[in-house]
Amino acid sequence: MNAATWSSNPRLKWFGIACVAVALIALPFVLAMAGTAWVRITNFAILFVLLSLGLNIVVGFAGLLDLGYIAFYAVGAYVYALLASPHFGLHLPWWMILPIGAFIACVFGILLGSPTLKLRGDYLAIVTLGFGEIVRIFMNNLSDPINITNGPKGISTIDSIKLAGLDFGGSTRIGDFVLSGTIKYYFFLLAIMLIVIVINFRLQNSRRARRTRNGHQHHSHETAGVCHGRIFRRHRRRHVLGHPGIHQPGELCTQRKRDGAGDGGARRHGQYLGRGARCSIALFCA
Amino acid sequence: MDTFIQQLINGLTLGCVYAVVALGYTMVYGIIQLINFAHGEVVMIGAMVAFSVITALAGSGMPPVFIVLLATLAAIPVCMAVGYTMERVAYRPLRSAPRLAPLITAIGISIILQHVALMIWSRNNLSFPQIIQLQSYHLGSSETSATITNVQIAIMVTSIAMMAALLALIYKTRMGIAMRATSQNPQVAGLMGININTVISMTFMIGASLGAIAGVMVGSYYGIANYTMGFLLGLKAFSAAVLGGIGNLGGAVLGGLLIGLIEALGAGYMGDITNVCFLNGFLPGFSTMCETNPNGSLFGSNYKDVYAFIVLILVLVFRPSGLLGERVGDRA
Repeated sequence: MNAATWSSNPRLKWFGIACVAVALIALPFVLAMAGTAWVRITNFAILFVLLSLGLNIVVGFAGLLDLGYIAFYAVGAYVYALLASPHFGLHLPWWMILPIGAFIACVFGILLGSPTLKLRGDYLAIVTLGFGEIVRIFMNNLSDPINITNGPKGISTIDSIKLAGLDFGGSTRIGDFVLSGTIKYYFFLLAIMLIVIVINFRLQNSRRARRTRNGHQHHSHETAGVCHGRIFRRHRRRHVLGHPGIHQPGELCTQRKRDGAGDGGARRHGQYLGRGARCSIALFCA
Repeated sequence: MDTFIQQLINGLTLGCVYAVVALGYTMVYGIIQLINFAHGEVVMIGAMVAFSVITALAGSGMPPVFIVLLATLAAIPVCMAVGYTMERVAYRPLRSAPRLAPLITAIGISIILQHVALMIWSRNNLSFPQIIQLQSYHLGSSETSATITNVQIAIMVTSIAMMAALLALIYKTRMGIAMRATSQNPQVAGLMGININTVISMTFMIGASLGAIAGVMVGSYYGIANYTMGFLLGLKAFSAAVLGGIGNLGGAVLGGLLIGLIEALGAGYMGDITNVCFLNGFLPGFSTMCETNPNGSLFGSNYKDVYAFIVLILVLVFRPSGLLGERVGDRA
């Protein structure tokens, strides 16, 4: 059955969507039978989906190969880690940190965007890669003379997400039914993923994005794309726009980290997943 | 003044290594306009092979210089094979693809090579056995004057020899003429009877063998090799190539030396320049910090890796063609 019949037959379409929904809801419980580790892996998979969606805005829609994606991810992770851990003694709620993280990621996006967006293609790739490295080195060294990031040791015991009285850190008991923290994170991440997907589709069909995509189609012949006039401004907006989407997985990731096996805290984790982001760049474009 | 000369020597040594690596980048870029991200990993593999050979032969009683020579001779063909394979397997099928495709492939190759090295040589820092006795020579009469070691001298001499050999190859041999022709216009060069594929393969192999030698030099200079060492090194060497004007051999050498110097001087002086403890008297909050650590500076020598990237960004923003790049790149 090909895609055309799927979408042309609304009944079949809704049936398909229902099937996928049931499968996604059942998935963590089935996996939990094989071990919580599998649920955790699935959570990371969703995290990577979020990361690739964010990257898709920058690379896919705008056609800018941004290899410094890691940096924004790290920024998001650190914003959460600093504002919700015993490191500074701050314990802001998650929903409050979200806009702060988005704002700071935007600032970094502008910081990176303003000098580099006149570059294109592989030069932009290199500069963003360098930018990512700069951020990494700074995160690694900002423990001295004033301890901000706690250096390579990272920040540990980050607060778990608490939303509407629901603590995502531990398990909840509903009647006889125990919902473990990992499974709660699964649904939380799933919900965020759906929201991000919807935003992405809306973005794809917005007027601005269509124009950007025009630029993108020209992107294999970049010069032509540039002749398209306001491409730079558009690109810059895109750059800024792309990043709130990115910082989010960063924050979520620090979250996930908290119930991990305590292997070094936010920073190393950010780095590890940052590498993952590099892989996801490769995967996405393959 | 002694410190300055010392940092100058360290920087030049480092710069020589960067220059040799940068030559590999710039050659490949000059000929097929590809940033070969995996070049840093070739350097790493060169260092790793040399490590294996040196460790195996360290106790054999052979003269140390001979062992290092053998290690280099072992590293070169391995790296050439790696260089040839990645061109043949990964880049050649993508030669007519959009530009981002080979770039991303190069990143993929770089990750693959890192993890192959991880599997073969483990994730630990491998320390080279000290087979060559380090000797320091003072550059002045006093005890505190700057010193230069025999390894540093060897690195500089080898680098200069490599650069001279490369220049001779490019400007004096038939192969070199074919390479220059291909870099100017592959189609026309092909029509003139040059086998483009052979030339490109040769370019990769020559670049890789330079990388192998650079790997041996880095390994013997720092005395340590690690499967991730190629990434930063490659990125810095690439910055050097861009600084000099990518595609330009002389530019790569100049850029390499400058990046080496910037890094060494930055590591040596930025700490003092950004020492914030002079604020102690004016601003509150510094006293406890400066008591525990009177040299508490904002950017110590641990930031040395940043300078190359800052230079890279500045160059790309203000002079994208690089210092010696005659063509203004249509890419930047």
